[in-house]
Amino acid sequence: MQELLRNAVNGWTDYITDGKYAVLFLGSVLYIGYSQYKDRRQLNTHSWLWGYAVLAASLVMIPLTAVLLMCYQTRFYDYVWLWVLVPVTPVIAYGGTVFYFGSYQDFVKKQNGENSTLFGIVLAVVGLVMILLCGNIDRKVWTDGREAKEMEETALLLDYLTENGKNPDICLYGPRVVMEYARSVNGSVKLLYGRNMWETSLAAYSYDTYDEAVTALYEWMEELDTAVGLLEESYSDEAVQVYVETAIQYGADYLILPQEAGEGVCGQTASALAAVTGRLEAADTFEGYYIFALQTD
Amino acid sequence: MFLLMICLLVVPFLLGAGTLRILYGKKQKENTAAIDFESARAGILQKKNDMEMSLADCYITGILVLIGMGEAVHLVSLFAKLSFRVTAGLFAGLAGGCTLIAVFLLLWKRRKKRAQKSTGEVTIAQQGIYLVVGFLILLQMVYIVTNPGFYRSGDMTLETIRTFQASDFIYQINPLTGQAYSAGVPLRIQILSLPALYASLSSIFGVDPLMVICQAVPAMVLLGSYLVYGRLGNVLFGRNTVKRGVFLLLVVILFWAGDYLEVMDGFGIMHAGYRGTAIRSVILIPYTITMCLRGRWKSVVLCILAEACIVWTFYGMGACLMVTCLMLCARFILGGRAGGRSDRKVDGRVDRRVDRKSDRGVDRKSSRGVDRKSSSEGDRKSNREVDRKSDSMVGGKRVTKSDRQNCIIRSVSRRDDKCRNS
Repeated sequence: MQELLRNAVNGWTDYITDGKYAVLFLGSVLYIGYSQYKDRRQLNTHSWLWGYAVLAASLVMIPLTAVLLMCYQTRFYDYVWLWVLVPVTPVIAYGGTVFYFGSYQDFVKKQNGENSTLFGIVLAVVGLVMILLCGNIDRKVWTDGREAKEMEETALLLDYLTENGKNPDICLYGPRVVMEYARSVNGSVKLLYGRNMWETSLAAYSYDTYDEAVTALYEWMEELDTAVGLLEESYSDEAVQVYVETAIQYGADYLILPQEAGEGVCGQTASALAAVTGRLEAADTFEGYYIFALQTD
Repeated sequence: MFLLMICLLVVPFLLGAGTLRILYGKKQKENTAAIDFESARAGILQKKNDMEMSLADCYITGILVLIGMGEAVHLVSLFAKLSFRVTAGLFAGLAGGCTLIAVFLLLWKRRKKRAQKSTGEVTIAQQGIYLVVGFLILLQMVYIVTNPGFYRSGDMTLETIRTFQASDFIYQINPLTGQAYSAGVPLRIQILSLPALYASLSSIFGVDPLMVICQAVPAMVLLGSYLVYGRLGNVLFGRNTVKRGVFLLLVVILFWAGDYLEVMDGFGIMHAGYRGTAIRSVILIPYTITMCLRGRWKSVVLCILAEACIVWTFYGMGACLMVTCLMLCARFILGGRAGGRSDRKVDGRVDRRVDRKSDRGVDRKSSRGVDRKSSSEGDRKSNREVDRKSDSMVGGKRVTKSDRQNCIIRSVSRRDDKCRNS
C-alpha cells in the first residue's frame, strides 16, 4: 500500500517531466468551467464532458483515489497509465477551440471588427507555440533507423546460419542484438533465452522462468558484448569451458561471439569446445561475429 | 499490401453499417422523430440527419466488429486447439461472410434518402482549415507508412505473429525463445486476440507481418482516430463547421507534438498504432466518450468488450468501463445542478415544475438511448430565443407540452429560413 502511495505521489512528477500537456489540460478545464459559469450555460454535452474531465483528473491526481484506481488496474501498470482515463486530448482541443473563438469574438466586439484578422492570426500562432512548448520538449526520438538496420543484419546472419532456410530448426546463443531480433525475423529459430531476460516487463507474459545456469550464460555474453580491452585475462579456461558445456547442455546449436570479445576469448572458446566435443575447429566469421557450431552430428 | 489496405478501408465500413442497422435500425427512426422540449431547452435541438449514424460511426463500429470476430475465432482455435492455418481460414470465412450479410442487409433495408440541401456556402475559412487538417493528417500517414523503425520496447507482437505462423499453433510456443512453454501463459494473455488477428491478416493477404503491424494497421488506426475525433467535434460543436475544423486541427497538432510519453495519445498513434493500448487510447476511449454524450449505450458496450479483447487489463475491467462510469457520474451530478441553475425569469412555480420534469426527462431519455447533441455556440443565442418565446407563452396562459414543441420547431425553422436567406 505504501509503495502504491509512493508511486501515486512520484508518478505525477514522471508524467509532468517530459511534457506539459497536463498543464494545458488543467488550464483548459479551468477555462471551460469559467466560460460555463460566465455564460450560465444550461445542461448540455459540454457540461458533461467538462464534468467527466474534472472527475477523472481529480481521481487521478489525489493520491488516495489514485491508489484505488491503481488497484482497479490490478497494480501492474505504473501511475502514468492512469492518465489514460483522463480525456487530455479532447479537453485541450475543446478548450482551445472555445478559448480561440471566445477571445476572437470579444476582440471583435470591443474593437468593432478592426484588426480582427490580425488578432486571429496572432492568437493562432501563440496557441500553436504554446502547444509545441508543452509537447515533446526534448524532442525524444523513439524510432530511428537503428532497429531496421539491426534487424536486417540479424536476418542476414540467420540466412547464413540456416543456409537460406534449408535448415531452419536451429538454436542460438549469442550477443543481445542477435537474441533480440532473431525471433522477429524468423519464427522458426530457437534461442537459449529471449528479450524477457533483460526487459523485465515482458517476463509478465508467461509463467516460465530461466534457470540460474541460463542467467549465468546471459551475464557472460553481456560482459563479452560490452567489453572494452583484453578479456582473455578475465576468464580462466575452465570457466569458459563451463559456459560452453552449459550452452551445449541446454541445446544451443551455435555460439555466436561478438567482435568485442576479441581473439583471446575466441581462442579460449575454441579450446573449450575441443575439450568438450573432441574436435578442434577455428571460429567461422560473419559480419563481425565469431560463430562456433556446438553440436556434433 | 494494396489489397490489404483496400480491405481495411472498405470492410469495416460495410460491417459497421450492417451492425448499426441491426443495433439501431428501428430506434434510429424513432429517435430522429423525437424533438422534445427538454432536449431543446438543454441546447440539444438539432435536425434529423444530425442524429443519424454517419460513415465515421460505421467505420469505427466496423473496427469493433472486426476485433470481436477476431476474438471469436481466436477463442475457438485456442480452446479447440485448432491449427493456425485453420484459424486464419475461419477468420477469412467469417469476415467475408459477415461482410456479405452486411451488404445484403444494407441493400435490403435501404431507405430512400432525400437529397440534402446544403445549408450554406462553404467559406474560404472552412476550406482553408479543412485543407490544413487534411494535409497534416496526410503527413502523419506518410510518416507512419515510411517510418523504417518501430518502437518495440515492452511489446512482443511481432514475435508472437511469427511464432503462430511458424509453429502453426496458437500460444503453444514461447514467442521470445521459440521453445515450448514449460509453465504456460496466463489465461488473460491467451484471450487477447490482436496477434492472432494480425497473423491471420498477414497469412490471408500474403503480406509480411512487419508491414501489417507497422504500416497497414497503424494507418487504419490513424484514420479511425480522426473519424472518432471528427464525430466528437460534431457532438460538441454541432453544425458549426469552422469550430469543428479548428477542433480537429488542434487534435492533429496535439498528436504531432505530444509523443513524449508512452501513455500519450500522440505516441500511440505515431509510433505504436498496432498496439492494443494505442487503439484503446485513440479510438476506444474517445468513441466511448462520444457515445456516452450521445446516449448510444450499445456502442459503449461494444467499446468495453473490444477493449477486453485487445488490452491486457490483467483481471481488471478495463479503462472504457471506468470512463463510462465517470461519464454517468458527471451526467448524474451536473444533470441535477444544471436544472437548478436555470435563469429563466418566469413564474417560479411553473418554472420549477418544468425544471424538475426536464431533469427527469433527460435522465430517463438518456437511459433509453435518445440522441442528444448540443448546439454550437452560435445556436445558444437561438436557444435563448426559444426559451424567451416559450416563457412568454407560459406567462400568458397555460400551455401544453405539444404547444411548446410546435413553438420551438417553428422558431427553429424560422431561424433556418433566415440563415438561408442571408
